[in-house]
Amino acid sequence: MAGIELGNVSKVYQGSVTALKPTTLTIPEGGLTVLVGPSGCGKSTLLRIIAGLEEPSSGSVTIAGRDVTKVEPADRDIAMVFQNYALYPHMSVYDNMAYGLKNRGTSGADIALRVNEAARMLGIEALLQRKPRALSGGQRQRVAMGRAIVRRPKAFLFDEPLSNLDAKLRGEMRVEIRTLQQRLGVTSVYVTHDQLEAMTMADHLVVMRDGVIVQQGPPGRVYDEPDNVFVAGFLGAPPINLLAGSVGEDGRLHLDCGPQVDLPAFPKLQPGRKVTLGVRAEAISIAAPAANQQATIELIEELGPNRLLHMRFGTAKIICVAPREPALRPGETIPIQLDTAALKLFDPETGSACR
Amino acid sequence: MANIAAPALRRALSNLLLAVAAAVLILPVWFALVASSYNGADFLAGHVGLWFGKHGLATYQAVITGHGIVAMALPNIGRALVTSTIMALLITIGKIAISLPSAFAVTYFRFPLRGFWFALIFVTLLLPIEVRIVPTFQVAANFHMLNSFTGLTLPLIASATATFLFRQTFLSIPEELTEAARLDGASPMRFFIDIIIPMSRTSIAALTVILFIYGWNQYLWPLLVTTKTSWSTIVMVIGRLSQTAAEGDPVWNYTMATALLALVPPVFVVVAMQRLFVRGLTEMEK
Amino acid sequence: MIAKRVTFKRTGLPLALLAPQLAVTVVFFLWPTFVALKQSLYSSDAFGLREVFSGLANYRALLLHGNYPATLERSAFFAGSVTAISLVLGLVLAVMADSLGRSGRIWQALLVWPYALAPAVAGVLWAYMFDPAIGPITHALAFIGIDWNHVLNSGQAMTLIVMSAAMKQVAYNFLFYLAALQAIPKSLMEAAALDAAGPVRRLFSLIIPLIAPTTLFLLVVDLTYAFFDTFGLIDSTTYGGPGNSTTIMVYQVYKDGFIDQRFGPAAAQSMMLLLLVGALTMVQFTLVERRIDY
Repeated sequence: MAGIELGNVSKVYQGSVTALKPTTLTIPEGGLTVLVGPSGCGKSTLLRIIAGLEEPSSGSVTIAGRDVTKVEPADRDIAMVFQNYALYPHMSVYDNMAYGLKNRGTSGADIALRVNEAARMLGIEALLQRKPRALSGGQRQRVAMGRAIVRRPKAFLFDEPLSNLDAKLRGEMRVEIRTLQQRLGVTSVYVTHDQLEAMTMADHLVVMRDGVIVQQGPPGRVYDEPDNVFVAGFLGAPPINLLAGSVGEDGRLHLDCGPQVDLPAFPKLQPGRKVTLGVRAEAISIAAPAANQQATIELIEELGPNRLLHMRFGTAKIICVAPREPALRPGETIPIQLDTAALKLFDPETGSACR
Repeated sequence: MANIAAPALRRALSNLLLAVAAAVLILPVWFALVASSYNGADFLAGHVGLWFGKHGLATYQAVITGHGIVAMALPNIGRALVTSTIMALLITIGKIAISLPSAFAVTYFRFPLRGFWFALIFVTLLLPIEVRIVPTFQVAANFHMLNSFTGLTLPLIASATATFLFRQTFLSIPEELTEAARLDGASPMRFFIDIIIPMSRTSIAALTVILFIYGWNQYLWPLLVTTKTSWSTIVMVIGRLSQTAAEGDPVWNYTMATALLALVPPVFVVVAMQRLFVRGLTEMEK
Repeated sequence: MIAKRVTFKRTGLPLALLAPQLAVTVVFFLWPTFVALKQSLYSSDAFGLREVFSGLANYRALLLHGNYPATLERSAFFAGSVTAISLVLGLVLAVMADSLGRSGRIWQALLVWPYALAPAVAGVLWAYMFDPAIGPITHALAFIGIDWNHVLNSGQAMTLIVMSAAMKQVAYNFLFYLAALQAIPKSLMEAAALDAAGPVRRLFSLIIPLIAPTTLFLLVVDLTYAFFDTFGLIDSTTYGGPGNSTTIMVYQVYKDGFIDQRFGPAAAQSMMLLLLVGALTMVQFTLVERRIDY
């Protein structure tokens, strides 16, 4: 009960544009909750409502048991890390980190103690007297986190904090933020549009679309059991293969692109029903003993440990992850096998999973 | 080869033309410098040539200390220099000091009639002093502002241009910075003083250069609002000196010395702070 | 109106922040303008003792009788000449400096400083050079057979104030044109050079159209300067003479209103000036809007 509670929170701009439909969400205490979705899905609005930077059109916000709906951002006992770091360019790193404490009337000695402690934790002690402009992107990111840490807040809010970094640094910082969050054990809300970041960092994953939460849960479960086509397609790289088809009298799935595949035993589907089949790239194996389908290789992408095969399956295109052996060439037609147990079925009308 | 020679020739021609232009612009200053190095008798005798005379030091001593020229009912230029400096600085500081808060108010606050107040500030653009000479003088007189620094500066410090420029500067400060400050518990005034003003210092500096020149070069308003010679500013006395000289009194040396003393401070500011000056000018006119 | 996403919602504080600016504006700008408007509708009675409401009589008198129509025409001629000279010389010099590349920058300092000249100072410097009795240029002109006396010759008086007024604006226009030229992508000029366009053709078919927005902007600024900022210049060179031949609008309103204390007619002139500055400001703002749209 000491996490963050959102009760029927919504946001309507200018009386007409709905950024967030009435949403109820419990963010568990001490964990890292990731809000993920494409741009415009309402995830940032939700975060800004928690921060108090945006006033909800309706509903209530409770942080650590206290209703803060009408409370100023500064008095909500939260800290935020911004996408562009939002460091004050004319202040030294030390002053940037100390500014919030100064405004709260924290004593100088206490400020020094906290700033130095946070700097040590983040490995930026040597940078304290520098100006933000003299720092690299990763260092700025650390300072932005340091500014949040010194506040010792009830919650950390992260607004796409890694999107301005290059890929390598992003990977490092991901691990760093995760490690730090686990060490401090502070309730954290993390907004991103990057599904990889979302999957790797979250304790609790919340997928949003068009101002609505479409699914939430532990990331592994959301990945394995997507409630609908959107979630299935949004999570995972390469993206899930989606193929349209209908259930035949023989109980097999007749794909519109030609081939027929075996259906899992559950759910039971009526013959003639139209479905969308979702097959993850890793659920397709090549050269397996029981291979019973055929596909033609069009393009091979080497990834190092493995490779991506872009193949023509009937008239459709699919992608699969394959080991580096055996040697293959574009144009080759090879036997493949779809892992029946891992197939996902969705209703083409509603997009919901068939259950 | 013609292809290579032609650009070289063109460059030489360009340089030559620019040099001629620069010379034409500097020529009046050269003549003024020469004229200020003679004395009245030289002018009457027609001795003034293209090269310096022997009385330069005496001329400048006379205008700055006021010895001799005050006796000729001419103002003490040393004193006028001080008045001008104080006036220019007060106008500069005053304009910046009232424009920063108003720009902050219209950019960062939502309050009733905001657009109306903003428009009201803009009306000043439509009303140069020439449009309202007599009534403005009457207002200043009613407030007992004649012959005072208040009178010289206060009516001039409303500035739509500075307000607009600062507003542009504030709009370019990232929103996230404002949000970070809000989360850091900064009150609006703290935010203004700790974040906004330090982040606008380049604009402030650039504007200072422009406004100093503007303030220093004021002519009509000081002419109206000062009725005692002791309150003359250096630029406004030039009209009187010029008239005296043109009427045949041998005071061209003093007039030219005064003109040079009046042009040195603003020209120095422009040349010494050229980068800021150019920036201020181009930003201000955008 | 554009505002920040994060706005503080208060009423007292922003009004307090605006208060000094608004106070100065109301007391020294709006109130006097209102008074001027009122004065323009009143005339002194026959004995000069009372002000009586006279409607548009001041305006009618101004525009139909006396010397004001001539003043308008003269002001337009003066402003037009100053603007034309400033634009042409500013552009020519900027093109020269720009063609020199980086080394052209040293000319900036040598050509820009006149911007800092007060119009009165510029005026008196020129008045000395051309002084009919002792001016060095006057002597030089006499040597080649030109008899210069702007105290008596009205054409020469106008020439003198146009030249001295243009000095400051040439510097200003040069600066803006140079900035505009430097903003033209080099690749564009190189492409034109590859298309075998010579420098003159490049100037007319490429450069001038590209910097047209700057020209429009400078046109308005130059006109505003010539109409409104040149009081000190007249007051230190020709004092409006000989006769009224260099009395432009701002000089006449000062003479009528402040020296001769003819408040009604002066106030009516003030309103004419207000219309003019209003029109110029409107044009300038339309231009600014357009520039932002680019």
